[in-house]
Amino acid sequence: MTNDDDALLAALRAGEDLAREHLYRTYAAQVLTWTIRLSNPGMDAEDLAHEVFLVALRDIYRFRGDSSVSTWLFGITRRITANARRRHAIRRLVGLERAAELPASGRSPEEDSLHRERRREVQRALQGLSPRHREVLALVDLDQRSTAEAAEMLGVPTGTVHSRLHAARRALAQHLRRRGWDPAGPPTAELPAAELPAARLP
Amino acid sequence: MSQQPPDLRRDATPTPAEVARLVQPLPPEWVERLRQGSLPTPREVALLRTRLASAPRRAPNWRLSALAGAAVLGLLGWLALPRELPETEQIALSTLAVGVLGPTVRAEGDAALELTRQDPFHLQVKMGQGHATFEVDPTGPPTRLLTLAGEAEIEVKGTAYTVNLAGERVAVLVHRGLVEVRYHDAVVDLGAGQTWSSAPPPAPQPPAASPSPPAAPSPPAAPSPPAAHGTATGPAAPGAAPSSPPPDAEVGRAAAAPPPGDPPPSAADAGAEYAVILDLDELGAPPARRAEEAARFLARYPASPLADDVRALHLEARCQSAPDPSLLPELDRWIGAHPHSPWRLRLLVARARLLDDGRGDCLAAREAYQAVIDEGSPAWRRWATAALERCAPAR
Repeated sequence: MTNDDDALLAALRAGEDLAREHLYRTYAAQVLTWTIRLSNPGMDAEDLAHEVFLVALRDIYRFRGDSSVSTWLFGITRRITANARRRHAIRRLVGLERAAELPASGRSPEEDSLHRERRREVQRALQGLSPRHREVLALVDLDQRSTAEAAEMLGVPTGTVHSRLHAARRALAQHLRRRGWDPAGPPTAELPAAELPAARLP
Repeated sequence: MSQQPPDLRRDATPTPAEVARLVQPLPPEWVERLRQGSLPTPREVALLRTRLASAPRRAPNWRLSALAGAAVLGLLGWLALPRELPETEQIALSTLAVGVLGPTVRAEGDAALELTRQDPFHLQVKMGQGHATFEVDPTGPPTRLLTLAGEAEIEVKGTAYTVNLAGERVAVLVHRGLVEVRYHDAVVDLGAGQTWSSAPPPAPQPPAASPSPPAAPSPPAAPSPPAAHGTATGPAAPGAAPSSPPPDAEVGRAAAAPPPGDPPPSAADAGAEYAVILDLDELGAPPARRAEEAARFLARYPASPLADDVRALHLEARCQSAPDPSLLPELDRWIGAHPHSPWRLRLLVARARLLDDGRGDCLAAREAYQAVIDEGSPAWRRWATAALERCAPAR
């Protein structure tokens, strides 16, 4: 834990508003990115990020400072997204699933639609992985952290990160190829061939 | 020159470079697409910060949620429990059988009962007045049935018993099983066939100014006493030895003849004995038992002013226990000698039953039924009229 983290924790424990603001400003984007990458389509990533910070502030006195604030927040994010995925699966099972809409961005409807579609595409791609593979892929490949750092954040040995990463990449490649992703260019389609637009047929 | 032994652990562990070469990376285009597609927009981040800063939600407290859930479940469970019966249920019907989880309470005549369910297996009956029979099925659920009659408490221990409350006097007859009677500070266990009564009533006046006339003869449809009434002397049931009979309690009243040398029985003793006979009559004790008690009374107090009444009861009990036409002359003599006695109607009924041979022609009983119609209460008039109509086709 850095000295900055120490000071931030001390100020948060003292209940300073400025410290909370600093926490949000420093980690909001990072936590939101994690919740997007670890959640499934239809889940509200922003809500999950909100919950991560609330739990963090509630449990601030239980944080012993053994790791960095970033690692601590990632641990909370893992737990909360795992619970949310479980709840989401149950809701889908009983037919209560509600499509989460992205908040109004101020952009044109076309841009919004494209952005939404792109995110769903990524989430669908990652959805095919197990949670462990997804976490390690998100940290190493998407966050571009080192395997040692990912090992610390996940609380596993580096060798385990390597093996998980290997398995995750292989599974993702197979999954994406099945979905029509081409490494050389944009994906041919997100839809099954039978549902491709007729204009693309010869 | 000695060679260093191989370090198996070091030599068998791949270097990071080897591992990195082994773990094939994803195509960079895919990684970039995945990365860019999953990055939040600046507006989303700003919105999240605003939400966190302006309207912070309360973090979910799962312990509180679990407690609230448990409380709701507890409440639902409590609501699902069987509700109590209405606090009290007044019963003042002619005859009513109430089956409540096993116990059966049969109220007769003008009996007034209050049923209170303490819990699903604890039924309390408070008697206001009258006559009621209680029965608990020993094979049924383990229900506790407590009867409050005046100042007495009678608790079922798997049995059937009858309680009569007249004024302040309580009388109990046990048909089957074992009953515990608590009266003031005393506790009495009664076995099958035993009776108990609280303080006897004031000694009756001479027949001329006879006390309250006896109740009308039992209605024709009155339930017959259980077959277990058997024993005439009311032997104590096993384990039912009276523990500490109250001073004014009379358990089983197997009144033996006084030993020689004892002072002669007083009028008060005769009054107490008479009260027992009345109790047995009101409780519906078996005719043989009533006959025996009456015979004992007549043997001890032949000159008592109450003897005439007891004689009538004795005669009626004998007609019921062993119907024999040889009793007719005695019946006729008594009826003829007591034109205004309150027992007269009962003997008229007994006479009609004795004369009705059941063959349908009713020739011998016609005049007796007519006498009941002439002198009887409305209920008995209906009974005798119905009997005559039943006989009519044979005429």
